[in-house]
Amino acid sequence: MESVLRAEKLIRNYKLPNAEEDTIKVLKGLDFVIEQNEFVGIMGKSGCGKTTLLKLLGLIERPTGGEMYFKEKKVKELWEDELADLRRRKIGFVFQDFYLMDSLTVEENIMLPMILDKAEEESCYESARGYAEHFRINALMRKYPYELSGGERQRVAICRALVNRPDLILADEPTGNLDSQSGKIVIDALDQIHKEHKKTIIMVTHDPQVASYCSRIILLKDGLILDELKNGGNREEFYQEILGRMADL
Amino acid sequence: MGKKRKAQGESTERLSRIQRRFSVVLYMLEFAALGYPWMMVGEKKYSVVTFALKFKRDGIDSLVQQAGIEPNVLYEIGVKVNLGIFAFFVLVGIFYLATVFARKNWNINIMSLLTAIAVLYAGTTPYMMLDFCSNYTEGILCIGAFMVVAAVEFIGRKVIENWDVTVTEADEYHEKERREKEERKERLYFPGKYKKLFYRVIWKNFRRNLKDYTVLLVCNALVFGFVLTGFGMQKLTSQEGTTAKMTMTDLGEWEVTVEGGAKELPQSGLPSGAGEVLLKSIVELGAVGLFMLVLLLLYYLRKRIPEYGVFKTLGIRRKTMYFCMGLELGIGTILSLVIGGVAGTVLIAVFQKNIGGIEGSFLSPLLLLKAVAVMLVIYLVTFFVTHDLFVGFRMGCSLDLQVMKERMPRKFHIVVTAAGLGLCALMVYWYGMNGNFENIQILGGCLAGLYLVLRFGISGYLVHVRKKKGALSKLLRQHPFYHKSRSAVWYMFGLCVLQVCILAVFSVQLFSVSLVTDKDALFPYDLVMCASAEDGEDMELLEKMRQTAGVETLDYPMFRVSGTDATERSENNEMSAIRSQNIGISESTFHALKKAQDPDYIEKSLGLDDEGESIYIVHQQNKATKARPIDYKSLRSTPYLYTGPVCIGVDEYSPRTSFSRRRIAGEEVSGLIGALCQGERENLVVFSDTYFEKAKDIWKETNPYDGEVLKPEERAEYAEVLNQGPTRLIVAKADDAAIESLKPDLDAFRQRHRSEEAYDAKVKSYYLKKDVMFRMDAELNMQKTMAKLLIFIFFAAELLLLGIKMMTEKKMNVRRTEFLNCMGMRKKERRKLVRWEMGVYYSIVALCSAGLSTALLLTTFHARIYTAEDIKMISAKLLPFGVSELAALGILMWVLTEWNIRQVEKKTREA
Repeated sequence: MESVLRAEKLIRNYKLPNAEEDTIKVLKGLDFVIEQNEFVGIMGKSGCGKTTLLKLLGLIERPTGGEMYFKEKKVKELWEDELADLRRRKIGFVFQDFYLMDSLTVEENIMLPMILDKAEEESCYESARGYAEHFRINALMRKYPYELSGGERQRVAICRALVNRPDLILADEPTGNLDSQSGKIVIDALDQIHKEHKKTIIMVTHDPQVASYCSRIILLKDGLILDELKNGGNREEFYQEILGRMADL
Repeated sequence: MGKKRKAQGESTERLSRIQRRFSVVLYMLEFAALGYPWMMVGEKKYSVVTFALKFKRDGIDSLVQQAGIEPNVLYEIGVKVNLGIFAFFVLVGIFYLATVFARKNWNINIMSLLTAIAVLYAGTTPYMMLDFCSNYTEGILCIGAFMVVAAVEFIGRKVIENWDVTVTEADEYHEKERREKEERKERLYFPGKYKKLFYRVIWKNFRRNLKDYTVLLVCNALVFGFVLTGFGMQKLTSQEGTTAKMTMTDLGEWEVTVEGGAKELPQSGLPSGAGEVLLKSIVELGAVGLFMLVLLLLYYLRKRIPEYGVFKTLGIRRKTMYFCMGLELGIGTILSLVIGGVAGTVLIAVFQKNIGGIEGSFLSPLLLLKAVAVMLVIYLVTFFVTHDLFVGFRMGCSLDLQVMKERMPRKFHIVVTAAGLGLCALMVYWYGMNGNFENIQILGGCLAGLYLVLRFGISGYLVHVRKKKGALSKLLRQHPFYHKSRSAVWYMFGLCVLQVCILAVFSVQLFSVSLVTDKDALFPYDLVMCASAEDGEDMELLEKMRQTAGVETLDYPMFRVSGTDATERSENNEMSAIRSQNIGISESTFHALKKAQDPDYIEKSLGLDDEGESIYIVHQQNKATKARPIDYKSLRSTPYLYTGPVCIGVDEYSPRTSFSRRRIAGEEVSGLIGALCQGERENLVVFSDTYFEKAKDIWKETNPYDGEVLKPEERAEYAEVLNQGPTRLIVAKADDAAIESLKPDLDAFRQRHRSEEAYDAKVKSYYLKKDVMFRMDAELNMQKTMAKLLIFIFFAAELLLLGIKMMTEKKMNVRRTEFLNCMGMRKKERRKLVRWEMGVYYSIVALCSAGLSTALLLTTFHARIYTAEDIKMISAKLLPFGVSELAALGILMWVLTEWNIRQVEKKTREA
């Protein structure tokens, strides 16, 4: 089976002009494969490189070293605009801070990836309405993001991530800014996307409860993979296992 | 395989054939050229062959005689060698052709080329064939042609040899390029057009920032308006802006040419001084405009970049994004240029009306182009500064900067704070010296000292407090300064700089005008002339003036006192600085002039010596004019001055022997004979009577170009160019009718002294009171208008700075308020906290700026040699202004703080 993402000795360094150390080594050589229809969680302490890894996987940044393959295409060999095309068509993003544009209505925010893809207006409206109905936010279409609650905003973000029917959904702590009830709605929505829409999802999270929805967990520590946990099918057991390993992080 | 090899073989054969034909044709041309009669010997033309035959038949003597050259035994050898080389060249050529026909690739053509070079070399060597030619140049060209053809043949063969390879490589390159282009087209295939929705989204996104965009646009427009005003006013007032350019003639002499402006030097005409005041102010406005532009652009980018970041993350094409950004900036730029253009035109009209005497049209395509070019440079500077700040402060970084602690200086707090204070004190002291002409660089040094005090002083205090007991009770209050120490200091420093400019610089410009109360005292005479006692016509004019009704004349001995530089700014390298020209008088003349102005004047000793080392200076300027030294270069407090006309070759860095170093025994600011050039030129330099008599003759022994003392044997050589310059100072009180009647004589007088006047357009041979007063009024009006405008703009910049501080920190303040609210802090307490923070800002800024401004004001008074009466008078205006300005700042800061508190609380409630 063709993998969605594959990383070989993935390295990412940052150069900070004002920092005491010239180079900060965030990711120090990661090897992993993400298969189709997987729901992978990435866990680790703050500063271990989770968000950096997600940026690399989302093709927002390029690795400093090693190789990364998106659908077996070498990312290093892709041009900037090709990466943009992949982001627009093949990847959906869900961020902790929602990343919605306050100047646009909910409907426009949802349609944004399609608008950027020069899709026909009618199909944009149709898709937006379909997903809004699915995630029960169709009553909010004319509202602006700042008029919504956190849970509602995140559902808008999920709709936006799905609207272009991407192969991969990347979620960066999607429940991080939400109360438990809203968080539950969001993670259920992601679970539903994974199961019903057969999408591959990679999710960064701190929350073991949320992580227990994943089929596999990659544990990061100091820029390296500490371990991988597999969900045997029982969420409660998996949750306990995650809790047990969190002490090592 | 066989076919390919066969094809290769055919191609090689084809190229060899071309090579052979090419070589044969060129070498046949060479041989034919040997028969071409290019040598003109006497009246007859010869080819190399016929020349050789003639030489063999008649011998060298016949040829020498025919050529009409001096006989020399070397000619025979020379011609033999030359012909021998030619023969060798022919032999090599024939041999080469033989190898070509024999299809041997022996590269003999290299030898042939070297021989052709030898032919050319021999041709240019004495005693060889070309010496016989009367057409030497044609000869060189002809024998050069042998070498050129040989070289072309050599290179041509190589090119033909590699032709296939080159063509193949080029084809491969084009093919590769085509493939890449196709691949790019295929891989980046993105058909269709963006739909209406896309443009709606972009517009809505832009519209949300319309308010900030408008502010940026208005600021842009203002800066362009100032630039255009500057150029426009410069054009309108530049008719008098003649400058003398000194150039060295072929004979090694200095020549003075007058450049720019009108061909005829006007007597006073348009108020160029006002133009200079305006230009200086425009530069200051430009500087604050740049500051505001950078601030606004930073703020704007901080808001816009994350929005474009969303588009980028969602996969917008790079070109599309840059197009949107470019369109946004481009439209803004065009609009700001149009609005700024209109604003500039209106501003000039206002100045024309206010100042008077400036008429005419200033707009021209070239002027607009210049202004746009300057604006582009300003944009470029803004871009680089903004970029540096953006990177330096890591504003584009994905990290949440609001939560990041800024680094604080950890060591040397006391030492650096003390050094900063010392620097401030030293700069304030220097600022108070007349010789330093209230130099802006010294002010800059002083502000640098203030920055060190703020940065290290505040850090030192915070670190010290943290270590003490009870630090926790102050933790919340001091946290913003501790956490964001660098930003806090930059805001404070920015406010201090703007405040000091308002309180210590522009306020003096504005209120010192009120010290110019008695304009008649500044111009006691209606006519001032610098005449020559040796000129009969000048003396006749003096006599005529004495006999004219309504004219009261006084005359005194004088000589020119010239320095090394009269310009505040250094000139470019091509043009030498204009040397200062002043009026040298004796101590008794000084007392006589004083007595003539004030009958109750009591003579007092000026402390001058007989050797001329000590001088007394009368700075002839009004009290509103800034401090101006007698000479801008070479130790302004102990200037080098020469008692004669300008020596144009004297370098300001190496004054020559005739330039003695003088000590200023005393100085005053007054218009003893008239504030003729407002202290820039025509100041009075008083010498002791004894030295005055001696110095009168120094010009006779001085080189008029380089200022060196002439040796006795050199004096005769320079006798004709030696010139003493004006020697008689004539001052007269006359009514308008009398001056009108003297006009033709004055014009003739001016023509006689034209050469002296031509050197520096600002120094005239005579001055009329009404002209000079008109000029001064224009300058004072301009000074007042610009000072008011500058105060307003700088104050607006302060508010902008505060506004941007509050807007950029809003998010952080919302978070803090949320946190404190959660922690159970009362609303009143939270508000108190924000008020306290702004209170600290205000207190530090007010304290530093008031303290520094007071010190600078006092030193300015000292530099301008103000009397106690002057200080009292100006302080009566400055003090209320300073207090009310600080109060206004305080009130507006309070209003902004309250508005900010409400905004933050509202956001917190929403969150």
